[in-house]
Parts: sequence; structure tokens; C-alpha cells
Amino acid sequence: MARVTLDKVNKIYPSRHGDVHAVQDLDLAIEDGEFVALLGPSGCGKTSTLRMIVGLEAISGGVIAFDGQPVNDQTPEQRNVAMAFETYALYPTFTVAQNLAFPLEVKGVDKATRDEKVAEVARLLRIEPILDSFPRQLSGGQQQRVSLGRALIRDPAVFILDEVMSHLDAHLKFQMLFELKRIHQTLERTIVYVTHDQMEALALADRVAVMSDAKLQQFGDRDTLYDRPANTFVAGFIGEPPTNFLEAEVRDDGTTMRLTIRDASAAFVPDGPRAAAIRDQGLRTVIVGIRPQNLHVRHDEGDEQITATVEINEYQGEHSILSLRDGAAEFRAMVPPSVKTGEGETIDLSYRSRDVMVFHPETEVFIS
Amino acid sequence: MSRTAASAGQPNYRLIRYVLLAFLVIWLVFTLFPLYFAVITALKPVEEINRMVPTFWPETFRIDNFSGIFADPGSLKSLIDSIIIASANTALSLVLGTLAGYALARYLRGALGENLAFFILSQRMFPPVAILIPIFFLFDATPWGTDSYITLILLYLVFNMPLATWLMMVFFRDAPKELEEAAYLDGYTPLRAFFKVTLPLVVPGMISVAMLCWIFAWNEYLFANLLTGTTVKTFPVHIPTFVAGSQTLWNFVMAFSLVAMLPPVILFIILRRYMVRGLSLGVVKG
Ligand SMILES: Nc1ncnc2c1ncn2[C@@H]1O[C@H](COP(=O)(O)OP(=O)(O)OP(=O)(O)O)[C@@H](O)[C@H]1O
Ligand SMILES: [Mg+2]
Repeated sequence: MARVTLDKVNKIYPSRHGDVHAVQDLDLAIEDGEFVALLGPSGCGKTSTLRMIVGLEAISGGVIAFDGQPVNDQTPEQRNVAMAFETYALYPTFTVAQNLAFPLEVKGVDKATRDEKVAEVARLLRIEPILDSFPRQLSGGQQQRVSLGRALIRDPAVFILDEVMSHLDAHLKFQMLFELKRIHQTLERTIVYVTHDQMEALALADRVAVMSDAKLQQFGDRDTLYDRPANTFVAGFIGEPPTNFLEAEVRDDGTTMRLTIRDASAAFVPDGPRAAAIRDQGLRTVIVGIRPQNLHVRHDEGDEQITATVEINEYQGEHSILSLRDGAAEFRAMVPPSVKTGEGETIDLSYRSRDVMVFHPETEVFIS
Repeated sequence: MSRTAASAGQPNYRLIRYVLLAFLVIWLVFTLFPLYFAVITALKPVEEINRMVPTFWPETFRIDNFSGIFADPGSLKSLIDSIIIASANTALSLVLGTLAGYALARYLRGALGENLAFFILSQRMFPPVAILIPIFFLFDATPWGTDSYITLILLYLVFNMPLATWLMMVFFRDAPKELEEAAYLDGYTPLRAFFKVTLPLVVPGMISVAMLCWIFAWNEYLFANLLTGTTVKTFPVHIPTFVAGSQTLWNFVMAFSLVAMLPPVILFIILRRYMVRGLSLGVVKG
């Protein structure tokens, strides 16, 4: 059981071609028993952060504390953390069962208890048929589950899971996500889960820390990330298909504000509080962000409307994605598959003014 | 026109294959002829070995040459001496080379480690004859003198340890570091993680290294001849002693050489599978 806090943590790798600043001033407070996902594109410093938390990498600056006690100088064993590695790191000379039992064996757990726990984890991760195989005989997804199992078999203060589902097919991943969520609910242990897949992060975690370029962009629950993204990076990274970003000029007559898309005829109307904020900051141009899901063909009372030309109508089963053009501006909308508007035809789309996100034109910070 | 162009552009695979096979045959003639000559000489009687025009197939077969060489008790003892020295030296080279190679692979990665590793390997490129005399005086000054097992066992480390260290370093670099890290997290000390997790991964490499070291120590003649010869006598030093007056008994020399070839050949056959795997691992990833 542990509360994990990171205070201005930095990681700098010295190298012959100049230093690599892999993690920069990272602040993170993970509550005891919380399930936190670390989400970000490849190379943003997720693994480096994890390796500092578990104690495999020296901390270049800042303090990492478990339950308020700094652990900077503790060995991985003293910190009592279990980690599943991105590269699996299965012992090639041991069978799957021996790999799973290894952490228990080291701790001096007796054989009967070991066998019992191995069987339990194997059932959970659906790897019973391969218990007697060696790692090299397994597929990537099987190795990944064994590696996850070797972490889950322990009883640590914190579980650290680095991209443990990247090689599973969609069906299996769905089942594993469910199992992992259930394991968390029964064990109530702190879990830090690293992924670059936003669907996984949002499905599993209580809170998600979004990283990019060695820096923390935002740390919050899924509603906050979705509705109030800290900046354009978070808005673009969370949500599928990604948010449309459009440069717009502010046209304000004092009572209604219209954000006119550059080189296009469409204009978006922000809601009252946002218009006020834009006025306060005295901005002449802004970046408008609108999610494809928030552009509808159905028109509700009080909705605003824009018109655009369809370039591609892409059928995707439960919905269709329209690629739209208005003047020089291009954006996308997610509509029901019943919409049959074809290439070159125009379509009217509605949106609620409170779904219009607005970002500062230079800093790209969210304006609320 | 177009026809000739087409046939010219098409390589003649069959011809290329024959040419390559011809090279292989030439190579085999060169490498197998000495062996063939050793075998037939070992089977000839003394009268047949010194003919001006040698016979290429023995006129009379003398199988008992092979038992005749052991009439001299020194023959068996020289083989045993060689086995003792080669094996002890191999064991030492392997222990030292493995530990040093691991240290180089894990703890000295930057420029310093690269240079140090290359310096160690360069010891192997040094011409040994250049230090023949100093080595003699050096061992002469030790309490055990020059003519003892320990002399050759230690001396051969000069040649075998750099090779062992370098090769083991390459094998350890290929062994993923995450495995050890996973073991640390599970509560292993670095030493236990090394023995239980990493060492088993490089066993094929160690077997290859052991073979190379053993064969070098088995065959070494120059230093063995200079430093030892009375109390200790390895088989290469024993070979030239098959003489009757001024006549060299080539049939005995060849018979004894063939017997001395057996231990490495048998070792190689037993360990071949691991050895090739270990060597190719180093070549591909090194
Ligand atoms: N041992 C190292 N030495 C030098 N640079 C490193 C080292 N490890 C990581 N880096 C660099 O630090 C940065 C962050 O790497 P890190 O592995 O933490 O990224 P990541 O977010 O885990 O990426 P991925 O999603 O691809 O696993 C990268 O630019 C990487 O090149
Ligand atoms: Mg990573």
C-alpha cells in the first residue's frame, strides 16, 4: 500500500551527442490504491519515469516518495515494487511456471503455496496450457501475459505495468482490461499503467497523466481530459478520431461573438463564459477545437449550425466519418451510418456552443 | 540483337555453381593431403619411410606402430601432461575471462570501456617470440622454476585470457540487461542474479571459448619447448624424440601425432553443437 509522489523529477541521460532530457520537472501525486495511467506518444519519457519509480534508474533531480518517505536512495527490493517490462524480460532458461513462481521462490514461499498462486494467475491470464513451455516457444502476446503474471503474482506496495497489452489482439485485450480492472478492485493496490493507447488508459484508470516531450501535460480523470483539455496536445491525443483544430478570427459585436474560420465561410459561436474569457484576454485570433463526435446531423433546440462540402464519406460500421471541406478549412465529423451524403454534396451540421473548445493562438493553452 | 542482350543479361547459375564446387575441391585437396600423408606414413614400416620417391599407399601395413609408440613410457605421460595443462589453463581462462567480460559489458560501457576492451584484445595480437627471453628469466626466478605445470598454466593465460575476456564480453552484451533488473525487483542480489539468470544464457558461448582456449594450450610448442622438458613434457615437445640414432622415425612421429589429434577431435564432436551456436551469436550481434 503506498501513496506515490513525484516532486520535480528529472531524468537526464548523458550521451556522446549531448544530453537527453527524457523527463522534465515531473510532478505527480498518486493516491494509495489509485489506478493511474501514464499516457503519451513513443519516446515521451514514460519508461524513464517508471524506471525511476522502481529504482532501476538514478533520479537526476527531484524527489520520489512512497507514503511521504523519500525513496531516492533505496534499492528496488527495498521499495517493494513489482514491474512488468515492456520487453517482457522473461527468464529464457525457465519454463513459464518457473518464471511465474520465481518472485515467490526468492521470498522463500513454500512450494504448495507457490503452485497454488501460479495456477491462480495462469487461470486469470489464460495461460494454463503453456505453463510447461519455455519463453522462446511462445508468441508475443503469450509472453506479454506471462510477464504481466510474474508481476501480478507478487504482493507489492505498487504495481508498475509498462505497455503490457501492446501485443494482444483486440478481443483478448478487451478481456485482459476487464481482468486487470477486477484485480485492481479486489487487491486495492496502487497501479501505474503505462500505455500509448488512449482507449486502454481511459478504460482502466481512475486518473490519466498525459505526457509529451518529457513533460506532464495534464493529470486528471477522463471527463476532465475530454471536456477541459489543458492544451491542444491533450485535446488532439484524447479522443478518436482526433479533434479538429481550426484557426479562427474573433468577430465580436459586444453581444454575440463569432469565430470565423480563416479562408472559409463557416463561423463557430462559443458559449457565454468562453466568449467572456476571450474578450478578457483581448484575443484577435484563436484556435478552435471541435470533436468530430460533436458535429451532428440532428438539429436540437438551441444548436448552432455550419455548412460544409463532403469530400469522403467513410463507412466504419457503427458510424461513418465524413471528411469535410469549407473553403481552405478541412475537418471531420462522425455521423450515423444512415447518412448517405456523397462526395461533392453539401451538408448542414449542428453543434452545441458549449462543445466549442477554444485555445490560445500562441501558447495553445485551453481557454475556459 | 534483343536476343543476345537477353541471354547476356541472364547469369549462368549452373556454371557459377561448378566454379564454386571446383574451389571447394581444391581447398579439400590442400587441407586433406597432409592428413592423408600422415595416415599412410603412420602405417608404413621404417624401411619404407625414407624412399627418395615416396609410396602413396603403404606396401606393407604396420598397424602395430600405434602400440609401438607407447613402448616409451614418456609417450603416455606427455599426453597426460598436456591434458593437465590445457584443462587447468582453460578453467582459469574461463573463470577470469567470464568475470572480466561481464564487468566490461555491464559496468564500463562508454569510451573508457571500449578502449580498455580493445587493449585487452590487442594483447592477443602481440608476437609472443618477442618476449620469449624475458619470460624465461621471469619464470626462472619463481620458486617453482620453469619446468613445472604451473609455469605453462600461468603462461598460457597471457594468450587465452584476452580472447576469453573479449568473447565473453560480446556474449554478455547480447544478454538482455532487463533480465537482471527483473531479478533485482524480485529480490535478488546482483551476484545471485548474475549466477542464476545471466550466466545460464552465455553457457554456449563459454563452451566455444573453452574449446578455443583448450586447443591453443594443447597445441602450443614454442614456450613448452623452451621452458619445460624434463619434469613436465607436453606432447608437442615429445614428438621429436622418436629417433633411432640419426634417423627420425617418421612412422612413429605420425602415429603419435594422430593419437594426439584424438582428444581435441573427440571434444569438438561432443561440443560442436553448442560451439557453433555460441560463435555465430557473437558474430551476428557483435
Ligand atoms: N539509457 C538511455 N540512454 C540514453 N537515452 C535514453 C535512454 N533511455 C531512454 N532514452 C531516451 O529518453 C527518451 C525517453 O525514452 P523512454 O524510453 O522513457 O520513452 P517512452 O515514453 O517509454 O517511449 P515508448 O512508448 O516508445 O516506450 C527517448 O528520447 C530515449 O531516446
Ligand atoms: Mg517505453
